Amino acid sequence: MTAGIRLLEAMFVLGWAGTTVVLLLTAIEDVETLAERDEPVKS
Amino acid sequence: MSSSTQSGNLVSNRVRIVIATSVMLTFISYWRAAAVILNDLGSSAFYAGGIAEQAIGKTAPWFVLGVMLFSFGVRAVYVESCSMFVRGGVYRVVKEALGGTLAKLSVSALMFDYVLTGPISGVSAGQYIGGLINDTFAIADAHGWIPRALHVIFHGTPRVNENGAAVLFAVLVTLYYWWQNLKGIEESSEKALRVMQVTTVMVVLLLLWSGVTLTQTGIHLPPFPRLSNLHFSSEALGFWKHSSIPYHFAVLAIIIGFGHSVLAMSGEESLAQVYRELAHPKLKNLKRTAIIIGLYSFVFTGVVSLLAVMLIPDSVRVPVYKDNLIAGLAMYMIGPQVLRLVFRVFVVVVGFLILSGAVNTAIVGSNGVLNRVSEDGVLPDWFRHPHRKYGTTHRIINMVVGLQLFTILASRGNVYVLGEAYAFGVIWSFVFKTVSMLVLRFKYRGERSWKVPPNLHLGKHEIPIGLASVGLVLVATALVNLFTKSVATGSGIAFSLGLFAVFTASERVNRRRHAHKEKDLREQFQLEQSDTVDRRDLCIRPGNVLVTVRDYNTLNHLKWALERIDTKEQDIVVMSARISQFGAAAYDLSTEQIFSEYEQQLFSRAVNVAESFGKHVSLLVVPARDVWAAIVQTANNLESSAVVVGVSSKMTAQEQSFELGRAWEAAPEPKRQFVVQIVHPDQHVDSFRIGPHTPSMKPEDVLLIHRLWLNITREPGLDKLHHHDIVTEALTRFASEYTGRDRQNILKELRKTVGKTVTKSAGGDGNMPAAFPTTPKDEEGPKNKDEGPPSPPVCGP
Repeated sequence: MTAGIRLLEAMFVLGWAGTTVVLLLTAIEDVETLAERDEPVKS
Repeated sequence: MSSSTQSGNLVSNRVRIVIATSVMLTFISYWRAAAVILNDLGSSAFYAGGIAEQAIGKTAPWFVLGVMLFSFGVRAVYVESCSMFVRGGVYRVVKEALGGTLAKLSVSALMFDYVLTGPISGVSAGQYIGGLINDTFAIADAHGWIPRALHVIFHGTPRVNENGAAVLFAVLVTLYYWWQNLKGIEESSEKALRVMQVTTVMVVLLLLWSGVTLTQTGIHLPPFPRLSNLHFSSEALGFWKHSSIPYHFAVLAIIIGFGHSVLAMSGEESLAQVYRELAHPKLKNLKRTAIIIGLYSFVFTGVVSLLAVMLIPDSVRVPVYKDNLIAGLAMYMIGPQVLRLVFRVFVVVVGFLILSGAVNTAIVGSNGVLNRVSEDGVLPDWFRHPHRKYGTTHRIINMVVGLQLFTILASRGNVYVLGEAYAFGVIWSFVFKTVSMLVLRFKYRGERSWKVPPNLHLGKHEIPIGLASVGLVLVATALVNLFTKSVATGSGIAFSLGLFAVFTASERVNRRRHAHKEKDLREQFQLEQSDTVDRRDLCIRPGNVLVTVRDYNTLNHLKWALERIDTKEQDIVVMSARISQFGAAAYDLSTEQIFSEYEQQLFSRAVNVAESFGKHVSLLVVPARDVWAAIVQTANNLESSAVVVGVSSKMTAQEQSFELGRAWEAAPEPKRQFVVQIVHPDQHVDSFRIGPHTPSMKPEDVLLIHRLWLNITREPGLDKLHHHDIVTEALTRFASEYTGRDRQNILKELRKTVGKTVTKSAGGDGNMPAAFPTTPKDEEGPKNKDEGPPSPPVCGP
């Protein structure tokens, strides 16, 4: 039981560490996305 | 009809009908898409904080904030899946990655989510209303406004049973939306946008007022999430209720807290459902939508939960306001009591709007998911039987609503129990989705439009660190939830396995039956399926006339068109639009759904009418979100010169033309002008031009132009002036004056000129759609009784 719980804890901590990087990288990209303008559609 | 087409038709005696299988989409902006999603996602702000605090104590807001932060990661997974599949919902992605069996299991979990979304939203809205009624009674009683007789009846201050009121309200709202869905009345993105605008006003007021209140009361943050600060209720530990395990592992305790707050990010699946309807550039707009919903829900659900704990005293927060936390927040701001009560009423109204909308989203979403599953022949045909009158999948709707009503009654108005169970569906559908996306990274190694970052490259191998990280958090939380949420685990597993068994058992039987029914249908009509509406599929010429039909008892306008049109010169297309609900774009409709018994009867009558005139008509069925947009897009695609419609029993001809004009304005370029002829039961016809066109001119105006031309050409150097140069100069000056100071004077003069006939269809202020009566005499009715639809080419691009 203890090993199983430790494994879950490790998954959660590692997951959050990686997710923090995801959040940082996507936040930078999000700022770029919001700053971008759409190209006018050619009719 | 062209000879080639006629010869083609001789091959078979059956009537040929072209069926467009994809819903004719009305593409929406990212703001509207965000509003649609937030109607579901934002609704959890009304109950997530209260549920989390009941489970884990005063530290709950930190967990809710953590979940809202983490939801950005989940959203990134959805963006990647949508960049791979236009219909990137759970079922499609899991099926691609893990196969049909796990896809059915994932859909079962998702269905559990949807079946609970309705009840939790309805019950929560009822709790807000019940709480408001009781507090109003209490305040009125304190002021001595309650009559003695009422005191006697209620044995004190009048009160309603909040749980009972919540159940009653939830049942009524669910029944209302059951009826709406049965009739197939669509929920527009416009309505969602309005609801979110009102909600935003409430959120801004809430934040500002809370900010001012905090300056008076001081900032007292809730305790930080440490093991010593976590106080789990016995229900919050589920199967570990009598165990000390949660108190011995600090990170495990955090995971338990996180798991009890995870329902705050329910509603992400809507992102995949609206993707297909997003306007160009799709991926960029999807990212924008994701940013908007991410930030909005972080502030609304996360920050408001935090403020509730900071401002509402401990003595009343859980005991009194656990099920209507935002209402409690409104009551503990600084300011006069009347003003706080008024604001609370506003909170309840907004809660009613957004939570009721979520009830509808649950029905629409589950109907959509089951339809999507049925595309693969998983669901028995019996469920997919279209409603005789409305053509909706009424048995699916009945089943979903039946389950929701059972859930509402079984919950007895307890939001906490519903929330606990709800989290099961939410977390497991995310787990299936993320794990599948991870598998797809290795299964399909090709380039994608977008990937969840970061990705580590080791030689030829790519390690999806970001995707795996999100997956790890989700899997760990879902597994811990299995132990701590006994109600959710029991009911969720039972429901999911039960539905999975139904799916699996019915799959084989259904496929055989489906093939048989399709054969029966094809014996009567030759059904030609087509992804889009195209003139070549119908074998018709440009300049044709499109006749829309809906009710087989009112085909007068078809008779009117057939009387006047020589089909050797001009083709007639009879079109029926099958209205599909929002979210229907997430799946392709089956032939049976689009061409139901009702359509068979409708087209049989239409063909009989055409045969009585000895003329050929082409038949077309188009699934659509909006009937007006469908008519405009179809007329555009078929290069029709005229559209003939019967006058509506609910709208005037002017209003019908206005709606068409508005749809024309919203249609993407390139688009063609056409004439719409609205036929009244007495054969009187109103004609309107849709789109910009050369106006008809009165003889005196032509004379005036000519007189001006005569005078001006006498001036030196102007002898080569044309009549149109005068019109150009006059219009340029008019436009300049209209945009300047003289606008009101011009409008005044125009009103004088046209009297009361400045109608919306005539486009009074330049903001109106381009729908105009073709000529003044068109409005006189009987005079143009014998005037048929225009011959080609009346209009061109």
